Amino acid sequence: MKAERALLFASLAFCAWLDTRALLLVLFVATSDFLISGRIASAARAQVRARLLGASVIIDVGLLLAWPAARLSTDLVERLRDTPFPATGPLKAVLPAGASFLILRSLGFVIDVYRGNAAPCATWTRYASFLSFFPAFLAGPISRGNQLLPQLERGIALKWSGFVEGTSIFVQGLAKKMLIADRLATIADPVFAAPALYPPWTVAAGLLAYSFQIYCDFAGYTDMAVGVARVLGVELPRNFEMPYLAKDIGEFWRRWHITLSAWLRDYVFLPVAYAGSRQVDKLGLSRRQGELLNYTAASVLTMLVAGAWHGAGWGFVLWGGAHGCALAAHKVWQGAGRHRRRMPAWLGGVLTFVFVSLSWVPFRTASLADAGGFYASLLGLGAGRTYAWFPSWLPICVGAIALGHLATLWASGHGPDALKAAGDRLASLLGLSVAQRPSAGAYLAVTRATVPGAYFVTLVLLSIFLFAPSKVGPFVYAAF
Amino acid sequence: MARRVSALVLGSLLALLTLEAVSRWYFNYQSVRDPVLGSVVAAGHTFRSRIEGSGIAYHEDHGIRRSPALGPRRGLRIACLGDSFTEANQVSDDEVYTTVTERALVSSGMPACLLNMGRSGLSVADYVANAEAFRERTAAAWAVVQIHDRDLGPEAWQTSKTHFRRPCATCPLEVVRIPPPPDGRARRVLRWLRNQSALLGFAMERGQELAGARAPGAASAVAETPAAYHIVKAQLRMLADAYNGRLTILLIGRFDPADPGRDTAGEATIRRAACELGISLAYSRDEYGALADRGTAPFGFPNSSLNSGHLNASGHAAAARALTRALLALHAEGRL
Repeated sequence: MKAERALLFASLAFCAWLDTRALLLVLFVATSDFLISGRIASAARAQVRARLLGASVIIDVGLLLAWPAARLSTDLVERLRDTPFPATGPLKAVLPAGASFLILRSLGFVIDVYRGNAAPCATWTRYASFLSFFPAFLAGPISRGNQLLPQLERGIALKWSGFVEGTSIFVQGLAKKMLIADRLATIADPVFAAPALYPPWTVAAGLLAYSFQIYCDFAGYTDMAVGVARVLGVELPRNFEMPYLAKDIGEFWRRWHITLSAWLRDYVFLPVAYAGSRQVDKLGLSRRQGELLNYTAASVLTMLVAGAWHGAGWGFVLWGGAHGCALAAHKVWQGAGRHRRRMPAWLGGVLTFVFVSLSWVPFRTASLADAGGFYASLLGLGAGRTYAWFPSWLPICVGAIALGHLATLWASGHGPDALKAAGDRLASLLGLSVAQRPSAGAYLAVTRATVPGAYFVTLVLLSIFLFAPSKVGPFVYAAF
Repeated sequence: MARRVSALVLGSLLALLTLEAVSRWYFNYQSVRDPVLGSVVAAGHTFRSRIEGSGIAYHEDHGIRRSPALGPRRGLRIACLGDSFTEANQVSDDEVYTTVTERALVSSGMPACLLNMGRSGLSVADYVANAEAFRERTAAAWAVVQIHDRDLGPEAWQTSKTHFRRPCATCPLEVVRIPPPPDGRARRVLRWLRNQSALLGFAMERGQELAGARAPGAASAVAETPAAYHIVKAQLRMLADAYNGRLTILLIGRFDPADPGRDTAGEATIRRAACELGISLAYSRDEYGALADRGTAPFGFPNSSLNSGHLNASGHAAAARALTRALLALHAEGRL
């Protein structure tokens, strides 16, 4: 009990340090959803349970939408009036840090209790600890109640093996963030700031850098969160599974931000698709046509929700809409594929990567006009002089990512036999092992004190100090 | 237990050795102390720096950077003073503007020897206060002083380094000299260690860089920031007087990719003041139009960003063309 309180205190202190509003939000959401989930579990009548769930959804989604809605409407008014909106303070304020992740965690839990998939939490302290669990508070992974609450109930367990394993994973995340993501940011940032200055191939290099930056930044944060949690004896779910190796857009979303994708699938896509199927039946379409229409509508709606969840901006809406359409187009292609030759896997992978990279443009730029300008420069349609610049760090960072993917392929046992044999020999030499967990997946971890192991860890840590860019950027996903 | 500890120690030592080798290739700096100028690169040392750009810089005595390919010093000696843009650790000896200019002058029939005394962090007030020391160390008959527009504005009034001061509104300008810190035992030991280990030197450099990034501007309080024309002119006059009028100002212009030919307000002020005082001026902007036409910016490197940081090889070539033109004109007029 003491340990639980200490964890809650640490988590709340972390929230307050990040953003005082986040602390208030945690206390409010924890109290309202703790009470509502308890009442849902004890209510006998289905109508009462549904109303309680509705209340929770309205409160949580209302909180989530309040800031983006205020911001989008302010932008719209500004554009219509062509003058800046006078109220620049609260209306244009961003969401408190970690708020969107917190609300998804809490809302998912209440829905699970409503569906009977989870029991209500026994104590407020534990529920608040679950919502504010500090390693994952800022940017996930979005743990489910039935994953994290039982672990918190067992209590945190500080063990030497957990410390060593957790630290190994943390250092990998730190290296991804500081050595790769922040370095790639030095390439992507200037190109996105003024794409018209560069020839198309440099703009493409900037886009490539951003694609890998956002991956390494977010995956690095996740690794650090998983590592810190592992030190405390808690397992967080895996959030990335080499997403840029996906062979189609559906697979990409099963590999990218896995916990958000799963949340959206369970709590948005499936209910919408279920409700939609009943409506489609009334239209008198063939079964195949009805399925496609329903899937398309549910995919686009789900991805629009995903876009809006990322922030208040039409760019996010465009990004979500594009992914929704791509998922629908893939479904159509899959259906048509029964009658013709399949696309080679490598070509599917390339097309998926190109689409995902292009879709990052509205996600990264400040406005749709900027996104349009970026695409124009990418196609060489920009006006004015351009200046050649080949960012030499890009191939180095991409090479490092490729090596990391090889290591992950080996660790997850998916690689070819030759890779497995070479990886086994190298891991044995370095004193590394694969920490395989049912929910968290495979991570490389130091298990023995060996000379090569100490060499490797010292080299990585000192390299971060010596070679990371001096300006450490904030985590990209901390802004959502 | 002992076996584990020895494995950790040995592994860590091997990692340090690896990074020492990497540092010798990536950033190795060896210095000696000059009683007036402070820390300068040791004579005979080849300083490698790949943090920004990729430079290999050979140094002769008194921290003078000069390409070994130029051979012995012959002809008219010209001291080239400036900050990190003249020190130019981002480019190699053959690309730095002093080497390019020397070659151009010699091939134009004007035997000259340009002695690069650029050092990061120097201010215009330093060139005034230490004129005698620069002359002594180079035995130069002429000086080239490289500046930017901001060097006669806020940069010249930073109290953390040698700076200008105006005791009262009507008083003439004064130079407040900030001498190098005393060479105590701890400093001597640290310098010795740093000269032995490139890794230690690189780590210290990184430490300073990270501390600077955490607290930008903390050590650079500006006493006064006048950029008024008469103040700029007074600073230029003091500079010219310090070298008995025997100097050329090399003004490195900022680069606006959209309009490479446009002066900044500060640059226009310096040009006007130099013209009125009859000071020889070489202006790198005169070459920017041609660079822009080739799709090249004078600043930035593949391992940094376009149009940021220091002069790249194209920027040095542009500066060298402007400087060569100015020095040849002086030569033709018989002033040099």
